[in-house]
Amino acid sequence: MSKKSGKAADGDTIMDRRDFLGKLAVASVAGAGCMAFMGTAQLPLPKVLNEPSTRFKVGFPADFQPDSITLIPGRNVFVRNDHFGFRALSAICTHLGCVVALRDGALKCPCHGSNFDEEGEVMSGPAPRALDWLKMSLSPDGQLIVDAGRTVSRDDALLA
Amino acid sequence: MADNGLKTFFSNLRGAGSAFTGSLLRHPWPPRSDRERSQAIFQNFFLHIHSVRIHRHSLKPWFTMGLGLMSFFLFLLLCVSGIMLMFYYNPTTALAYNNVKDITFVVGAGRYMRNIHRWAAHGMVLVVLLHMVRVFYTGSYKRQRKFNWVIGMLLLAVTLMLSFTGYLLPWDQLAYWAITVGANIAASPRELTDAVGITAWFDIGGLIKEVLIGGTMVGQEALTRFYLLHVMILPLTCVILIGVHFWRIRKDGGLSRPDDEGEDPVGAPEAGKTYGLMELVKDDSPQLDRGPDNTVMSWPTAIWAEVAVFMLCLGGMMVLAYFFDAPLKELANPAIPENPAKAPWYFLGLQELVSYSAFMGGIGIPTVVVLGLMLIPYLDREEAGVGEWFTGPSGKRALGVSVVAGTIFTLALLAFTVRFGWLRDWIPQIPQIVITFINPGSAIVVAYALWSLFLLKRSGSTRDAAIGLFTCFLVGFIILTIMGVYFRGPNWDFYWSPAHWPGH
Repeated sequence: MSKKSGKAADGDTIMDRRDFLGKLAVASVAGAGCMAFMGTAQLPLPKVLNEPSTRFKVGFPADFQPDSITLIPGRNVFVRNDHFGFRALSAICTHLGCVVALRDGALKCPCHGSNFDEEGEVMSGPAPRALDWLKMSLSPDGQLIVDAGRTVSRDDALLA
Repeated sequence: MADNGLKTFFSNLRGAGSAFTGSLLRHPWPPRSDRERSQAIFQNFFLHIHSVRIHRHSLKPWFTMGLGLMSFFLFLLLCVSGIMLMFYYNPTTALAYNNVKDITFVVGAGRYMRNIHRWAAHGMVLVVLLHMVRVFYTGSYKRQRKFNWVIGMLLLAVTLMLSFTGYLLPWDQLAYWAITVGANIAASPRELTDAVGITAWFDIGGLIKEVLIGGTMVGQEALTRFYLLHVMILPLTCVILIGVHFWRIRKDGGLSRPDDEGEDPVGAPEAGKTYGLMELVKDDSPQLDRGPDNTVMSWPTAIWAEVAVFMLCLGGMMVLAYFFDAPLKELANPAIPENPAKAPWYFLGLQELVSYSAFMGGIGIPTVVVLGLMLIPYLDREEAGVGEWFTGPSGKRALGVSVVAGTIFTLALLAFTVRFGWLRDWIPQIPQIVITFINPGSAIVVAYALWSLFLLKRSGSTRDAAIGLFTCFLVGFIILTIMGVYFRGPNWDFYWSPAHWPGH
């Protein structure tokens, strides 16, 4: 109580009690604020996605002509049937998510002009990487299944 | 007794009107002396943001052109018309489109209200941009007004976000694809994390996108979140920022104007006038160390001017809404994008930039530009020429040469890119990270910065350099916007005119 700020024997300034308690109070408010923010910030990040399944049937293997590339209506996926086997190529442009269309042997994006070849490789435009190849499997009833939520390498073909 | 009571009653009844007016207003009505005119301002809840007297310069129409007020009035119109639309609108993917159709074709005055909302939104973006241009070129961000410029930048950002979130709500083709593109721009930091190879562990772009649209694809959750942003979070933010913006104008000494020295005082102060608190406190109040020379009573002069601006806004929007209908495309179809899929006009410059690189055009350059604009008052601290267009002859020269230089840089780079393509057309296997950093957009920004440094070296004036940089960005914004609106067609290819588009 006697002095505003005391001096230790070795000359270092010691924070007095009032300063210390004040700083402790500020630190506790800041800490509580951080914890509250971190807790609250969890809320907007969805834990359950209320979205349609990424897995869907696209038809029987016999529906696809040999050496063909077929757009599955409404699914934004191309199914290729060639000497590798069956492969699924995403039609969603890797630039900003528009849907590419097959035109003159190339996959063209209408939004910002990215062009891909039929193997999904970027030919021109702003797309940062090749189109995604998607996981294919066979359902018990013999239909092909595409899982748009899982990407695979371009050599990963389904032999059906 | 009864007679007396009745008499009092009838005389009270006769006087009820004026007694009510007296209780409603806290000052004599109509105000006859300057004292009463002062009271008309500071005793009124809605008007007391004004000072009692304002400087004559603030009333000159060519100085502010009423742009800040117009932004505010358009915001009010947007609030009222927006609340009207909320009577019928449901933010669900099943109902939203049909609700907007109902509003347009069935609801009484619905189409008119939607048109007003639409054109006031576009008008507000335009007027806010023009207001920024006015404030910059008159040097009104200087001295004590530095921080209000920063608030103005935040208001510009909120205005653009309000406009963008409103774009999704009709759930038509335009809405769906604009938001898909917008959400993927939010995810575009993946270009960087992919290049370093850490996307699997640290996907900051994907996280922002997921929080923004509440999932992995644009659907019901995205609509809910954009609705929440559009009708609650952003308008509230805007109201608070507008309040602080206005309060700072008042506290920072009113609208900017040239220094008073040398001007002849006009009119002697009237006897019996009073001063509000702001004449007593120290610091940047309008009357610091100075008599009331060169000022006029706010009531009624400034109030009339404000009402005139309001009527102009309201009238303009009503005429626009009568003659031009807000567009509504087909129902959103996640399988078929519009071709070309164009953003609203004020984002088409950005769309041109993202057509070079999603990250650099959509996040990198806008961040640099907004931060650069915010920093202007702290980098250019010359105090001369506040309240004067272009700060005199040297600033006018800087403006002139910068318009020419900015136009040449921008047109040359655009012409080069359209004619010869860019890195990937010459070296097909080039890594993406190179294009992310070296593309026509970043080249333009670097050219502008170099030009500004050149002006700084030549004139030694930070104000001239700031004028150079700001003018270049303004010219670039205008040219890129025109490019996006008129010269980009299907597949974002270059066309001299929409008449040359294929498939017509």
